[in-house]
Amino acid sequence: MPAEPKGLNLPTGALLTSADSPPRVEVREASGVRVVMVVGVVDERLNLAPAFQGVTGPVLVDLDGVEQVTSAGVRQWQTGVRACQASYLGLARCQPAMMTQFNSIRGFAGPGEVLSFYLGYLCGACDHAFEVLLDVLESRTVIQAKAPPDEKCPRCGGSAEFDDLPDLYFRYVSGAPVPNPPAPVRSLASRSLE
Amino acid sequence: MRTRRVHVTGSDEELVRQVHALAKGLGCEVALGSLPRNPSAATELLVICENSAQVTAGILEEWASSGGQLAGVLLLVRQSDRQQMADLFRLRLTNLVAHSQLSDLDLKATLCKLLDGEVFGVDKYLGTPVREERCRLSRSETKSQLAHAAETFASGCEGLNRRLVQNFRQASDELISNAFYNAPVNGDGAPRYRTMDRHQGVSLSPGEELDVAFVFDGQRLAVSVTDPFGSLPQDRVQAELARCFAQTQPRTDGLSGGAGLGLFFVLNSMNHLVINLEPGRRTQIIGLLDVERSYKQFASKTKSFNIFLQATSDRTPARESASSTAAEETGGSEPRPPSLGDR
Repeated sequence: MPAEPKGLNLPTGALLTSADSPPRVEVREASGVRVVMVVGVVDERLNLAPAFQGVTGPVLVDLDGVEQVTSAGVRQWQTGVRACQASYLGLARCQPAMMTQFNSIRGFAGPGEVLSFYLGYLCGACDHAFEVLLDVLESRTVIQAKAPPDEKCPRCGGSAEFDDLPDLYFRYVSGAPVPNPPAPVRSLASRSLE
Repeated sequence: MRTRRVHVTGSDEELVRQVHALAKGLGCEVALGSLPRNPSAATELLVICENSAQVTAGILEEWASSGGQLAGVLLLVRQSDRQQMADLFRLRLTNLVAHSQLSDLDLKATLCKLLDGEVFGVDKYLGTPVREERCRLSRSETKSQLAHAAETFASGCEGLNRRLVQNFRQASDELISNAFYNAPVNGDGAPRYRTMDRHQGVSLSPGEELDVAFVFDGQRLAVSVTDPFGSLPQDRVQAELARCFAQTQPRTDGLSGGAGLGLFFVLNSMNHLVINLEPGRRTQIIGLLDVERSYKQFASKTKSFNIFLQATSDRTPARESASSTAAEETGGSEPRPPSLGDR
């Protein structure tokens, strides 16, 4: 293929027409638990303070919507969770982007306990990528053995493998104390939070 | 043209042969075998070809103690774990390339850069671009848009695992952020914005803009960010990366403003990190990511890095004449698009 003229593929300014929104933090109350949902890219614009303001009871942070965490976002996240005065802080539906930080940054969870997290799978037959949610309390054997089971691809029924390095991916959760959430938090964490 | 002397050693015979052939093809005089007794007189570049980084620390220490320059060493290894990476950074090694995925293109680019000293340019690491996007930035408020654009760019690269799309965005975000907040210095070399809250916007003056490029050649993606300050100290980069790799879990509370954690994130997000430095004139940081359908495949690969130092010319500092110098110095291979930062 002949080389395209460099630097001319896009009209001037096209790179900057991309829309980008700051991370979203949504708060609601359920069964006496404050549920905080974080959505988007956790970067320097993340502000958890309003969501945790005045809270004294349990808090459950739903991390299903976190796409990525930047180095500036690490600081914002840690500032937020360290200042949280909740009686209990649970972290649920953690995406791989969050698991990477738990595994690589000491103290990233602050006082929080990881209650559930996603495992990424890749189908060997059709290359479909999908995720499976793992409950930390119900899956102690898998976590301790760092041995995620193979799954069936929801698209073609083929065999799908865990698509990461188990030793690294399970490092934080396998070494953390077994979580001890209050009943309402556990109940919320084990079902869809939306 | 002067003949350049290259010495190739190591236990990976196949790779020794590959390097030998390439270096010969580049017109070098090539010696093979154990380390030369008088390093500085015998060779300009030492290439070590080993399976694991574990065995190389002793070789590097022997080389350094006999007067050899580590800047003139290229280490090619198949495997290197976190601790070994930390040790290599601590030893101030500047060039490690993982050869489990080494192509002739990579090897030739690295050899040419080390031997010729012309270090700048992302094109050296890529085949013919299939897609390419470039822009110049002057206002930090555009950073998140660019990061989003990086994600869009990577999403369009066929066969790329979706977590690696996020990795590409992450590396782009970190590099642009680093260039806006850590790179700018005053005339006396004092950092301008390093301790500034990242919520606060930064505006660069005309001639100080950042050049950003996303390039895809069908097999590999690259993000390149170039600033006209050349303020990134090589020693500090290596010390910070050594610290990040040495700790199983680095702490963030001890890290002040600076490039440490951000570069650690970039290296973790990509296969290959290239830092081109021309002190006082410009810095280019390039992240290279191989197209993989499987994240596990990416995660199991050893990281590569190169830190190249280009001798500073005695011309006007780049930030005072940036609009003309870059095109000249890259031979026009990387055109600088018009500034977009003031939109």
